[in-house]
Order: sequence, then C-alpha cells, then structure tokens
Amino acid sequence: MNTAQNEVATSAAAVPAVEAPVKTFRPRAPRVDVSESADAYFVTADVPGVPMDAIEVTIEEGRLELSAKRTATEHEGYRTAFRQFGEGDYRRAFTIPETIDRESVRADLRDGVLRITIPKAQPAKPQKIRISAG
Amino acid sequence: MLRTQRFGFGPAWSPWRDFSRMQSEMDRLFQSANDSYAPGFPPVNVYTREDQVIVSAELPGVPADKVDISVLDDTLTIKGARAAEERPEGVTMHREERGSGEFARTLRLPFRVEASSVDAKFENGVLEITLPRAEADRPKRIAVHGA
Repeated sequence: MNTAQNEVATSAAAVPAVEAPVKTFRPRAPRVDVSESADAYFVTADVPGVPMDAIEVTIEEGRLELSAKRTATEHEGYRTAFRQFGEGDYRRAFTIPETIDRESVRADLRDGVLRITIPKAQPAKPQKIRISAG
Repeated sequence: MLRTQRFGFGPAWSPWRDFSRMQSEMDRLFQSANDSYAPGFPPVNVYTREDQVIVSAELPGVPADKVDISVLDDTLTIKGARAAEERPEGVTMHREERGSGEFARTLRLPFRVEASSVDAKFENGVLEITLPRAEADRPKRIAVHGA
C-alpha cells in the first residue's frame, strides 16, 4: 500500500531476512440476527470472505462466542484506490441461557452467511411427588 | 497533491481528478420502499493497475444468480437483491441487524473497460470483478526517431 515502505522492506531483505509488512485490520463485529423458537435459539451472522474451516463457535458458561479468521486477499501489483471494507477477523459474543443442548449445536455456512442453531435442553419432566399419609 | 499521492496516480494521468463526483455516483442507490440498507451498499474495495481494475464487494447472503453486473464504457453497475430471512411461525426475533431488499451501485472506473473480457467470481459472499482496460484507452508509446 505504501510504496516507500515496501521499497525499504525489499532492500532490507537482502541483508538479514526481514518480514514483509503485513496488512492488519481490526476485528469486526459481524451483523447478526438472533431469534428463538419453542425448541431452539438461532444466530445468523454475515461473515463474508471466510470459509467454514476458519470459523469457530464456542459455548461456555452461558456465553456463545463466534470468531472467524479472515485472510486478506492479496492484489500484487495493484494500488488500493478505494477501501470501504476491512478484511479483519470477525468476533462477537452472546449471552445464552444455560439450558441448551450443547452437543446438538449446528452451524451452516452459505454465501457468506453463518447460521447457528442452538437447541434448547429438554425440560425436566414434572414429577409427581407422592405424599404418603402419615 | 496529497490526494493524488494517496490514490497512487501521478499528475500525468489522473482519472480520479473528479473523485468527489465519482463518490457521489458511488453513493447513488435505488432503494425499495422497505429497504433497510444504508446508502452505499454494497461496500467496495477498488484496486487499480495501469491496465486493469479489480472491484471487490461484500454481498453476504446474495446468491450468484441474484447479482447483475453491467459495464458501459467506464462505469460499472452492480445490482441485485437480498431476500428477507424466512420467519417461521412461533419464532421471536431478539435482534435484527441484517437488512434485506434491492440494491444498485454504480462506480466510475479510472478508464474505459473491455466489457467482453470482464471476469467475475463470487466466493463466500465476496464478489470480485476484474475489468481490463479497453485497448483503445491504453496509453500509447510513441517511438521517437532520431534525425
């Protein structure tokens, strides 16, 4: 992006190995929809630019964290003329009830949209308590 | 001068001289009545080379067959629609940040492009369009003959 900086890095690389400057972007909070039905919670997140294997969903102590590693596209030999979106990682966390079925959480990625389904835990069946007469 | 440097074009050829005009064109948006998108959708990154320009746009949730790309001289138009999520009965929305509706965005490119050689790929919700400069619009090298 910065030609002067690149030139310095290139010439310096000839003597000791100097890492090429890496473009970094701050993590972004993806836009989300959150909804709930009788049996599940649903989180839908816009995460353009990441493949499924770069996405991580963790559930711990009533907290769901969604993170995704985005690799910035290299355009060697091009100048950045206009930039309206960064290519940083995605990160966003949610508070969720503890009454969920952690083992059955599903995630599906299509066209840059991640859909997470979090089934609710089956409620404990009401138990009749027999009261024996004294 | 600062602007010229920032966008990397020397004064010799300066397609971005009317940058403010381009920006207003970029922000031109045809919104449908219940569209929740802010102006300037989709966001784009533009990368340029003397003979080629790459425009990438974030379009999550828009299937490839719902995007329409057209090129005329030095303008590129990206049009399409993002469908609203289905809301089955009995589902309560807690948060709704993702919009839906139609969008259209026109960009002015730094040169006329060869419409027949434009290439577009769409992966994980990111559209990347490669537009080669029109042959007739390329700078010509003039040979200088000695006396």
